[in-house]
Amino acid sequence: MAMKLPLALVESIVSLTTPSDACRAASVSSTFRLAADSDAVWIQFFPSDYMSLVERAVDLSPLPHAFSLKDLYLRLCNGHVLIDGGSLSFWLDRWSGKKCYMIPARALAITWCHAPQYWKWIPVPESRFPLAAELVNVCWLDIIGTMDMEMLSPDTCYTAYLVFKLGEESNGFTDAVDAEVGVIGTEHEKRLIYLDTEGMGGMLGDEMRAQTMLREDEIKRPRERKDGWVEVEMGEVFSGGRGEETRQGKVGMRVREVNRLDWKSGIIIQGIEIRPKVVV
Amino acid sequence: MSSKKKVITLRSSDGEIFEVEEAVALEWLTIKPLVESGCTDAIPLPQVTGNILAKVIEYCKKHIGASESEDRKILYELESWDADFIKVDQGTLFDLIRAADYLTIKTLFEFTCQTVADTIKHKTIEEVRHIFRESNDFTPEEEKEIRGKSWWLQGL
Repeated sequence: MAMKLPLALVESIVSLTTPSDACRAASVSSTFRLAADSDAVWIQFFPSDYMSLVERAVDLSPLPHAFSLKDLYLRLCNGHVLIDGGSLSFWLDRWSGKKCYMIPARALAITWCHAPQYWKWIPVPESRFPLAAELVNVCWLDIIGTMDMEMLSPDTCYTAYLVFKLGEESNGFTDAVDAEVGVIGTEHEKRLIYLDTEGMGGMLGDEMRAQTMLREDEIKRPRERKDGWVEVEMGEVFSGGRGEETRQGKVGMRVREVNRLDWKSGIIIQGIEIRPKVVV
Repeated sequence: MSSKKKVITLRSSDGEIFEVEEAVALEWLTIKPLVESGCTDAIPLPQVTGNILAKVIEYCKKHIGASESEDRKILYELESWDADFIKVDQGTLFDLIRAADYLTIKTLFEFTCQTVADTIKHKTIEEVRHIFRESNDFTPEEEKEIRGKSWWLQGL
């Protein structure tokens, strides 16, 4: 009959599992709880630069050093924190501990966004940020977000989403619009996406589909989020391995409609979210 | 100069004597200083039994030099050798972890810990208890508190 493993060895084993496994391990026995809740285990689940990120948080209470690492992990994957003076929302993917962000509309490059006859800045109570961008009326819709690749966890396929709402009076979104996500300065996939959940694809939409050889079911549609907003997949990007050249680059995420140039109005943009692709 | 490789003698907790090449023994950080000091007596290892020590030596002999190889064929062969090597009962696996920890053999320690870690991934609390022969020593209140804190991450 083998003797039980000492605490330090149980820690070594649990730290090679996942956050979810470690949470279950804490319920096994009191010895396991000591090991599975230890900072030595949970430090393994964090991104290597987590401390520099949480120290930039403006709304983390108590301060990061007051948490056990497990509690800090639970806090960061159960809700976001605002970092860099509120110009970025940051959290961890609960299953993988990978970094996730939402860039607020304010930090996106939106064509005409400083002209109040085209875009307005409005407070939306269920938003993470003080202001969202509401489209008054434009023909030329172009929204770009950028992020340093190094901000993303390495070796990970990320998906970028436009997070928005369509107001009741919205107009001009029944046809698909262009979206692209990729490393700036490299070739990457362009796709068509719908911003209107009811989008059916009119004449111009059909023409564009024929041009890009896309089938209707391959065009991404918006989905409801738990926070009352909707999101639509803009595209994917691989974050690159440690030390690879792509890690030095910038990710570009863009939604635009500059072909039809019909009038569009009523969309409210919260921001662009980037998080690890869910592998089913 | 002798071309014969230097051999180190080891004695297990149950008195068995083993001989290993110096290069192998130098990977065991716990006894490295003794080996380097030119110790010629049998080194006693009071925490490792003969049958476990034999397994540890077998692993280290196979891995010396090979782990750093960049030849895909060698690495693939090593991986399949490892998979056969680790087909042991739970008691032996835990003994190997203890021995690798005691002797400070990094490669064997990481390999054996990862093997156990993989066996508890996606397992229920009851299954993990069974694997580690742990018994539930929580009060119902404690159990509720632990599960309540992170139920949304526990799954299963």
